[in-house]
Parts: sequence; structure tokens; C-alpha cells
Amino acid sequence: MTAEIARPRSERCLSDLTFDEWFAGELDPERVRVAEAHLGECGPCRDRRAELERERARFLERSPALPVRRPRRHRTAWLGAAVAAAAGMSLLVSTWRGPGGPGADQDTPGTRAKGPRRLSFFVKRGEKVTEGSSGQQVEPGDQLRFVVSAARPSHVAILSLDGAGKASIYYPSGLEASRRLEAQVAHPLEDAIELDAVLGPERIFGVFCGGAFELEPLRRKLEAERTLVAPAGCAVDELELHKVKAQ
Amino acid sequence: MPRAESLESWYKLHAPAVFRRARRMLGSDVEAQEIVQDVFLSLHERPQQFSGKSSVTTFLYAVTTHACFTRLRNQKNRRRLMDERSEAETQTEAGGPSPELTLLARRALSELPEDVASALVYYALDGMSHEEIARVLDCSRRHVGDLLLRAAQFARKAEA
Ligand SMILES: [Zn+2]
Repeated sequence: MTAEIARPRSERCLSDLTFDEWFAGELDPERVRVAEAHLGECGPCRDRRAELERERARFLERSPALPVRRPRRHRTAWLGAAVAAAAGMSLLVSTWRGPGGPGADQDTPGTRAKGPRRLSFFVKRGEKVTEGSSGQQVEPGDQLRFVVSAARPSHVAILSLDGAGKASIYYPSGLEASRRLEAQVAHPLEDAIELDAVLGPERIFGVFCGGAFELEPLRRKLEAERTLVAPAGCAVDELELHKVKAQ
Repeated sequence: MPRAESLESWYKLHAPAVFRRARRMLGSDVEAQEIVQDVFLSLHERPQQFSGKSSVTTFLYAVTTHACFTRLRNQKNRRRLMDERSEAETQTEAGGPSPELTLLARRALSELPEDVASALVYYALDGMSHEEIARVLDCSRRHVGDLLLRAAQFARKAEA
């Protein structure tokens, strides 16, 4: 007896599970027949089915594909100390040598970032953390942690194009749009990326824009065109890694 | 064993339900999206999880409920999710559970043992019969009755 807990529809009604199995083609013909007969006489269940169909369509329109290439993320604090130390020394110096320093960080619409580098990274292999540089060799299983710098508040995303031509979104994780970050120097992003097994050159694109932008259209464009031209009002900073088999 | 292409078709068939259920349990689009990712990526990495004993839908119902349970049990997440006045609390789906039921199930997930909370979710949010719940939990119908009795006691206390 569970009369105390209300339920969405009556005892005899079709559950969401039944509808989901129906959509997935898992109901045998007899159960389909029973379900159809019930729909014929039950308004609330017809409404429910229509609502579930609408929700399915809406979801697939927004998230049409499985993000298989999206690497595992580690929400860890590794690097805290390493980044802090490095940011105080080499990183700061090497990334902010642009003409006129940080103040000269002007976005030229539709152009690649010039001057100060906005995107850098650290690599963790085993217990060892080192500062990365464009062109360097990495191995499957290495963890990358990105560090961004921006002279003023920017909407930021990081995308990658791997050796197999697959594009993925490295940052931000689990969101549909770019993330707004305050103006800051050498800000380490919260998640680390674990590199998967696909070998070859991997290009990483940091996108910095004045306004928010959607990630999936950009990812698709990167995969189709195999490069990323900065959208208007944005700057793109590119790094290249060479992923080789672990020694 | 789901291979890459069957995983792709599984996504099309099942991801909408995973998202819908996770969104309702967690009350957050972003969190639900992460659950979808976690569920399908883990299936990609360890396809042997699905034994083929049940239908894919019932398997994913169980996996999704467990993933949401785990997430709500994480103290930090729980505080954030419970504090937020989420869309799921204020929005009603046609023929779906009321906002009160949704909130009750979310509280159950963060306070009750996993089997009791799951039974409550299946019954109150998914509108499932005792038989269907027994199928997803892989237990007897009598045991489902016991679980729902304990869930009802919790609901009464929550009301008082
Ligand atoms: Zn009905």
C-alpha cells in the first residue's frame, strides 16, 4: 500500500518506462497492442506521450551526437602549487611579452591572436608536472591543464582537433556555451584533460571573444574545416602537440 | 557489447530519457548533461556493464538513477543542488510528476538508502508499477512493496 505517495497518473496508466521502451522499439507486439488500446481511452496518457516526444526532439536537436571523443576530466587540485610557482616566474614572463604588455591586448575582429599568448598549459605525467610548450611531445594518458590570460573579461572556450580529425570541446565542460572569465593573468582552469589513445598531431585552439558563443557549432566547424578562423570579435590562440606512443 | 556504431544508435534512442530523468532528479540542465556524458562515456569505455539480461532502457534507468544518487550524496553538490531554485521545481511537464513530488524524490535521494530512494523515484516520478520497479531493481515485487512502504513513511514525515 502506497496510497500516501501520489503518482503522476493512475495505477492503470502507462509509465514513463513503458513509453521509453516503446520509443526504443523494445516492446513486443502484444505490449504495443495493450499500450495502444490504453492510449485510445486515456487522455492523460496521450498527453504524456506527446510531451515525451516533444522532449526527445528538443534534446536531440540540442545535443545530436554522442561526445565519445570528449576526454575524461579530472577535477583535481594537482598543479595548484606548480602553477602558482610557475605563474610567478617563467609563465608570466614568457606569455606577456607582447608589444606594450597586457594593455596592448586588443582583439582585431576575425584575426588570429597576435602579441601576448593567452593560452598555455601544464602537463602531468605520473607524478611529474611540467610546463608545456607548443610543439611538444605528449603521450596518451598525460593530463593537460590549461592556463589562460586575458587583459579584460572574455568569453572563453578551448577546442581540440586530434590526429584522426575529430574535434572536441576541452573547455568548458558540460556546458553548451563559452564561459565568461574575468580579466586575469595566468589563470589555471579548473579541470584537467586526460589525453586519449589517438596518436599524431593534436591542435588546440583557445577562443577568446567579447560575447558568449555556442560550442557545438564551433566544434562542427572545426571538424569540417580542420582549422579555426576567429569569428568576428574574437581571437584564437593555437597550440600544437604531438602525441606519440608511451615510451 | 555495444560497439561504436551501436553506441551511437543507443545514444539517439536512449539519451533523451537519460537526460529527462537526470534533469528531474537533479533539477539542473547542466548537471543532467554531465550525467548523459558520464553514462555514455562509461558505457563506451566498459561496454561489459550491460549484460544483456534486461532491456537497454531498464539498464539505463538503473544506471541513471544510481548516477544521480551518487551525485546528490556528494555533500558539495547536494548543498548546491538543493539550494538552487531549479527549473525542474517550478516547471510542470504535461502528465509528469508535480513539483512537490519532484522535490520529495530529490530529498529522498539525498537522505534515504539507495534502494528506498530509487523505488520512490520509479514510483512517484516515472509512474512505474510494482512489477516494473521489481524489474529495474532486479528484486521481488514483495520487496518493492516493502521499499515503497518505507518511502511512504519518509513522505509522511516530510509532510509533517
Ligand atoms: Zn493512462
